[in-house]
Amino acid sequence: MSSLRNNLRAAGARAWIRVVAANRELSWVWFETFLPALTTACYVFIYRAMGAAPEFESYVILGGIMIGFWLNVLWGMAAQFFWEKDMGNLDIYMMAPISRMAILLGMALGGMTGTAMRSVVILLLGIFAFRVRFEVAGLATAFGIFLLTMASLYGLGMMLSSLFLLFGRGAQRWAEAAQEPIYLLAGFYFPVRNLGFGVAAAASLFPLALGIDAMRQTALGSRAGFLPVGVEAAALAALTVLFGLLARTMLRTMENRAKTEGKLTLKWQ
Amino acid sequence: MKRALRNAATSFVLCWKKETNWAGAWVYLPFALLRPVAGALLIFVMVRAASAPPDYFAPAWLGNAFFQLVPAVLGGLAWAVIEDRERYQMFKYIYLAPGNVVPYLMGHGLARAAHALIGVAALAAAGVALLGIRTPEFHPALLAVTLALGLACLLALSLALAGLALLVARHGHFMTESIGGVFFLFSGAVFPVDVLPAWIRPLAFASPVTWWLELLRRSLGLHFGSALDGVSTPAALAILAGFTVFCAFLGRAAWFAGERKARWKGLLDATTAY
Amino acid sequence: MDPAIRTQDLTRIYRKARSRGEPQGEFRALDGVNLEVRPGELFGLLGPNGAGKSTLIKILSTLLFPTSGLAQVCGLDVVKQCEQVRERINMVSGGEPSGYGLLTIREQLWVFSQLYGLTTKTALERIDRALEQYGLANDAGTKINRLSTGMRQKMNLIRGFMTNPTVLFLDEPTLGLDVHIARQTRDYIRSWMAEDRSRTILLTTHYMAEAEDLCDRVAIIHAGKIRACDTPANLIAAFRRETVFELTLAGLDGRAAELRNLAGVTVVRLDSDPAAGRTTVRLSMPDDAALPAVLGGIAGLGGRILNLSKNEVTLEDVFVGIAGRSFADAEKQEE
Ligand SMILES: Nc1ncnc2c1ncn2[C@@H]1O[C@H](COP(=O)(O)OP(=O)(O)O)[C@@H](O)[C@H]1O
Ligand SMILES: [Mg+2]
Repeated sequence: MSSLRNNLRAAGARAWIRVVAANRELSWVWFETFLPALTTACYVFIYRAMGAAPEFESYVILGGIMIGFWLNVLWGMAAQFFWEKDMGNLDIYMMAPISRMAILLGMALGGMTGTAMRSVVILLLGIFAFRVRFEVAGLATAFGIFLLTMASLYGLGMMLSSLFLLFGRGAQRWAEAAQEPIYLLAGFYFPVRNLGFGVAAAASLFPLALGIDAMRQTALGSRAGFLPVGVEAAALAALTVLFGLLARTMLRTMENRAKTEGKLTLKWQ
Repeated sequence: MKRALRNAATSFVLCWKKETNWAGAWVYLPFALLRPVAGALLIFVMVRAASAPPDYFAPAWLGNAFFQLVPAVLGGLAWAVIEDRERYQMFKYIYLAPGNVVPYLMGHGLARAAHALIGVAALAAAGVALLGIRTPEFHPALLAVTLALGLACLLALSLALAGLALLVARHGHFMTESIGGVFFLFSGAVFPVDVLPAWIRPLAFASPVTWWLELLRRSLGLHFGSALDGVSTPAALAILAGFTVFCAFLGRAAWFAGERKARWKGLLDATTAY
Repeated sequence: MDPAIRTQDLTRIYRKARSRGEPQGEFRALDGVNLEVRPGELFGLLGPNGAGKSTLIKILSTLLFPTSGLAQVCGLDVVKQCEQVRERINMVSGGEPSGYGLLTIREQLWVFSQLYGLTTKTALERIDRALEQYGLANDAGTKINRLSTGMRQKMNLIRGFMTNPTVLFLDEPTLGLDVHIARQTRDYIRSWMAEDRSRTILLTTHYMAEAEDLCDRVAIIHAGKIRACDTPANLIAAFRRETVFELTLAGLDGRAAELRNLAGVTVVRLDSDPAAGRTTVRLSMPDDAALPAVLGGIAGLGGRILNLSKNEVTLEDVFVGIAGRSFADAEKQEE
């Protein structure tokens, strides 16, 4: 039990770094909230130029909000773990008597301040500048789906962090290159079923695809859903368990490999 | 001058290698195309999902294709500053080496532009060959002049951002990504300027990228909205040239201001990640 | 009682990066290392750059797997029982930057203390006391990215000490520090050890004087092998029959290197300053009787003696006697 407490303490401290440092250097507010809101607005205008139905605007706003959480998990957590190596901190985390997952969790939680801000700005933009309408009745379910999505996303992020650890710069390149493909497959800007059943089913391995689709169905009353909400929620729960287990094994395997090859402390690979 | 050119050329090669060297050509090429192709497919799927009118697709597809250059070049210099300073902790050595750091940064920007041009070409070719896009006219001279002017203008703006990057913490990634997003919104890349609310439209007219994309479309005989119809092609060219000159001054001034301030505050070798 | 540290035939092989057309090479960074450090000891690992010191420290601090052999800390296997080992150790590597630029020293140390389950109250008490003792109290509120090398290293050392590890690994703790801060550091290390007799430190260094001054026992490591292991006094005593002379010579005109060919002596150190036309050489020889022949040899090279003194044997002389060449040479070979 004391080990759980110690791990939470470590996660808290790692999250605290983010919060404090973010307060000291406020330029991020600009880059992480205002500008992403503009990008989101851009996709709304694309639909307007096409003369699309108003519900598409709500779809975009919801997708725009969720992108922030994905970026936080990918860059704020998975890649950060590997950057810590170049900063000379990874050794310190690795030889401490705590779980690597605690550190990763701390990174993700610490990044949430920025992400939450970003979400709120985009949400306000959607409500006041565009034609976003919520189904009040579905909001509670949507929130539950959101939490489930976050859990599985975090598991996925931990798996990715182990890949970053092992492949270093190469993994970072792939993550950068995968940005638009992920935007496409996750259906951030359109209902995922427009990809066709086969592609949408494959894309569902990425938790945000299912999560966003289910949230659109519940919070926005979308009738363009891919699968029934119940099925999507069950699939998300399964993904959470699967990614959690895989992340544990992968982190351990990768760490052992890195220790065998002497790469754990090798900088700038 | 000679030294500056050599400096830029070396940096071009260095950056090109950083971009490409980590993998063989057969991994690299599909890899380089992944982002632009997926981004373009995103628009394609949106068009189908919303059943857009047929005259929307061709100018939007090509506008999006050419737009690839904007974030690549615009963020290129700032990214070089941030990566060299924070990751490799080498920026100080580049900075103190004889010769100017500006040619070094420019070389990086050009390498990123060359890199992005691969995507532009691929998307344009795919649009014509696979998606049935037809260009009613073709004016190669106009296309070439516009491309060159636009590139110069973007490089100059990018220098200003690099000056800013010296002063802000860790946000290089967000900065380079999201500045591209601003231009995406205000430059009529994927939707005509007409769609923007009237009070925002002046911002679009104040963006050089708007004129650049409009001229590129005109060189292919395409038409996207009617907001710019009143401006003749020579007038639009003059506007773009004017912007380029203005941005050159702006970029220079902003870089030197950023540099001076960074040196004053000791930020040339700072690390700010958290 | 278990030894604090024990290794048995510890070997670590690095695979060299494959270069085109060549077969993959192997590099033996540690070669059958046997070492035993007792609880309460301040143990020094002395060796030139590239000797394998950091490799050994990384293995013992659970950051690297050995290729073969056994390594134990507090009787626990560093491979199989790494979780338990981590509860008992900490490590500081000198000369390496770490930390988050925007935090202050005190905040940074608090963050790292949280990795070891200290309550905030205990942690801050220990941190403040350490900052006080180590002369860093006035800088507690300075941000990391404004620190000088010395301050950064002090902070890093406090990070290791503040968790009260049973075994503390210090990898070149005084690397890059000025004489004053290096002395402060050695004093701090000694006082930390004095607080609790069960604490153990394994420190590596390539400064002989530091090992001689600080350590209860010293192992000399060279090219991945332990060449000798004893108290500094014993190592020197075993060598005492040797006589050591230091000479300042003029007129050698670029022939200084030929001093190495003189029969019957070992050149411990050779510094020549061609601009001033001077060469300082430290020679060790089995007994005084060899001296006339040496002086004759020097005269034969055209050298004039400006100064000659008979010196105390130091650990450096021991090292050269054992490894066959001086640190400076070993380091040159590395480059
Ligand atoms: N990760 C690694 N991969 C390959 N070779 C390494 C690695 N780490 C260290 N070495 C090599 O092992 C030898 C010993 O290194 P190290 O233990 O760092 O020496 P020391 O700390 O005594 O200076 C050196 O020759 C070094 O080049
Ligand atoms: Mg070392």
